[in-house]
Amino acid sequence: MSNSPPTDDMPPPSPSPPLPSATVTSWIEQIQAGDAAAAQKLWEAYFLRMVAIARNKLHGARKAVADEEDVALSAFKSFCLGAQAGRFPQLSDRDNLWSLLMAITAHKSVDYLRRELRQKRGGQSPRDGSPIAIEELIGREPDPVFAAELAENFERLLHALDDATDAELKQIALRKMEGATTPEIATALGCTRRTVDRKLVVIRSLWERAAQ
Amino acid sequence: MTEPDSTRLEELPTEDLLKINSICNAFERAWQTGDPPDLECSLADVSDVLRPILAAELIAIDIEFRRRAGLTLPEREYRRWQPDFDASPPRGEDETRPALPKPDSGDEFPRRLGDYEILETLGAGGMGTVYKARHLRMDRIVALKIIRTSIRENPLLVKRFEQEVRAAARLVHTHIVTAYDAREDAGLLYLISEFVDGTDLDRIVRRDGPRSVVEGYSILRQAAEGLAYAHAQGVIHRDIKPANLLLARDGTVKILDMGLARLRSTETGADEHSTLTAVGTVMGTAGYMSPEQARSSRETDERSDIYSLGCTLYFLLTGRPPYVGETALGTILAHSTQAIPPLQEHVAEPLSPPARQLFERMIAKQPDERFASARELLNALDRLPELRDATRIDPALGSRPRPQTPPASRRSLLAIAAVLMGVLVVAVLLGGGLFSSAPTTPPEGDNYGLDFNGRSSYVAVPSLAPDPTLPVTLEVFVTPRSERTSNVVSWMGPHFMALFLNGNGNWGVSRLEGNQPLLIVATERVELNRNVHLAGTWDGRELALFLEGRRVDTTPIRFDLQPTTGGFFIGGVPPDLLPAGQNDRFFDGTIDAVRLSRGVRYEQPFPRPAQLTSDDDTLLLFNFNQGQGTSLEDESPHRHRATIEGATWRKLSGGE
Repeated sequence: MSNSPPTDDMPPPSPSPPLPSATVTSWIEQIQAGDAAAAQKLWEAYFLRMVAIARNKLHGARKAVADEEDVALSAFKSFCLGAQAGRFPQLSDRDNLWSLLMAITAHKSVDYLRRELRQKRGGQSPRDGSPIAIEELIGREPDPVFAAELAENFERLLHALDDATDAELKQIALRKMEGATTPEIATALGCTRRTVDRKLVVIRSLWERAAQ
Repeated sequence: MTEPDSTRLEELPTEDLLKINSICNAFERAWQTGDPPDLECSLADVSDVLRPILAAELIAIDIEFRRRAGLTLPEREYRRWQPDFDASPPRGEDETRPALPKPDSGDEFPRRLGDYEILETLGAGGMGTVYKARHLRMDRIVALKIIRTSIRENPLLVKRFEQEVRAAARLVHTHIVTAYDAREDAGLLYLISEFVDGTDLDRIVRRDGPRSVVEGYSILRQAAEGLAYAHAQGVIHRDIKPANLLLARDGTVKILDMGLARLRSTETGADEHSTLTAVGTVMGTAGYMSPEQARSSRETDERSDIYSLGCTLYFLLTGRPPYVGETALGTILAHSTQAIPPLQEHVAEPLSPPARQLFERMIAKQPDERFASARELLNALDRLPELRDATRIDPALGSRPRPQTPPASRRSLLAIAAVLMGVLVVAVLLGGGLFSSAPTTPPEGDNYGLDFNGRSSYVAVPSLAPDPTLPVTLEVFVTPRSERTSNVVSWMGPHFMALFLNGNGNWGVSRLEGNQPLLIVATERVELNRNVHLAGTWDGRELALFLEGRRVDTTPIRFDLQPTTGGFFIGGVPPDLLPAGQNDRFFDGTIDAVRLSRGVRYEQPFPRPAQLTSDDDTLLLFNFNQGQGTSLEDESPHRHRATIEGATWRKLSGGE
């Protein structure tokens, strides 16, 4: 028997993908290395459409929303409003929880996304299991399945913050996702800026742990 | 400069991060509750590896709080834990805020917002800049406050703001500045409230010096009336201070921002856990904040408002708050730790022992040692020698006629002061001829009524609050003398409702529903000089009019009604409460009885009642059979007080 290369139909067992934080870091490096302004534009266009899809998904899926879900729902609404008003999360911001949420979701759905990307490009994409570059993700129409996944992940990650018995973590995550800056959050919660920064670190840590 | 620390923080495992986070939270909470924490103690409980990372976090928090409170930095102590410490601005200090419209910068202000024309700047309050504005269609002058906050960017908070204002708008009382509405236009969120032509007491005392004892206690009494009303509706103010009490030109004291406590906390960032937040807010409030409120806003109840009002009294009489620390924090601590300052030592005029005790009881450290309610405080105020001749006396308590004070006009305050400092004359008519009384002793059981002159007389029941959603019945026994356009009874407020006589000689009933004026008038003419039973009902959708027990044919008419400040008025309304051109609706004739009831009392024809009596649905009842005096108590269990302004007692012949 000859050694035939693996076909698209039968992918080899994939190596375990890198952790999301590594993905975020590499995303930020990509942005900084490339044309940051162009990437941001691309991201904004993508973000607007994706959030709209995610919101519709969430809204359609749950008529009788429980409180927790209601929170996520309103959060998505406010992202959408913020985006329409021209307030986008900065892709190059290390504290940008959106990048992390995107990365975690992309990481979880990497195989699915790979297949989608491959179909659209006629099988020219790298193999399943390897990380997805952010340009690759946002350079195409947002995928409804991915958007729904994102919204669900967001809810799940908000729940993960309950482990820390610090109610402010959730509030900070929501506000940060809505595009508020550290001083704005500090003013709104009546705490120091340093505390907001510290809690963002805690949130990232809890999210990365939950993603593993 | 702190970048390396934060990088290291990020490298920690989640469990270590959570530990550091919880120590930092406790440290910060200690600052927030006014109890400066100890750095060394907070650092004792972690490993040597974590300690420098935790120290960097705690020091950064410590610096922010010390800078807010104007305290010096213990740099040596900092270097002990962080050898390379230098006091340059902490991380994030120079982060720029996103561009927002700045209505409060310089003298630039929007000329028009929605339906309102902005006339002038009145001042900058805790929540934003306040303007005097005019409603373009209704020509009504209002105060318009543009909310200085990022809440308008958060739909959830905007919704909460609107709910809050709607709730506050239900508080309608002579001694409360009424909130009317919340609006959003041009990306600005703003609050519309009653415009009060006057000045806040903080500014007055700073400008003119302390008030006299009588004036101070009279102001206290009026504010306590407003508080008693709000507390009865379950609303705590949480920020009573001289700057939140307005003294109107006519001498009426009005509480600002009643019912907006949660809104304030949204703005300043205070939540259930923290009260020590925005520096400006704390500076303005520290001198008046109760010990329990400084500890936790969850512990506050109406007794906290009483405490703050006690501190306000001290300020009115001495020109300074009772406790003044070197910093806001020091002031807040002094409320719990220092002895109550003896009021008499700082007031030149002699104070009666009850007046001193009343003050001390108001600002007792323990809420249990204070007056349990504003109502109880009012009772104590009524017994003060300082106010004995200046306050209304319950007619049931004494039979001699008393001079009456209208809600303390400036003139009457001066008059009271003159009385106390000089000659003690009991029967001085304060307010200069506004009152007329006919102190003839009536035999028991006679039927009396009140005669209204059609020019200036009325009866005021300031404490009755309208419930905007309530189906309701208004009814009177009334004898008109002329076909003057007039209001027989007026239930004022955002849903102004009245029984009236129009210029064509038709009885009518009106109501303002959702800014929509609804008026119907009888198609038949009124019969002069005949006593009739007249009733108007509102079932939540429609008005109906009954004359002598029969439902009369009516026709709708158009008229521009406007929301007003609250209160119930009989025979007329004080001119300053109604818009120009509509403020002379004084009834000419006699009113024998008035009853206000919850629900629709009449749907079918009914026999003319022999007398109006009180039952479970009665909100207010007057039979006017007292025959003398200038103050009344409502005969329903609600016991609203009324004052007679210019109307005279008239003995009615039997059978009427």
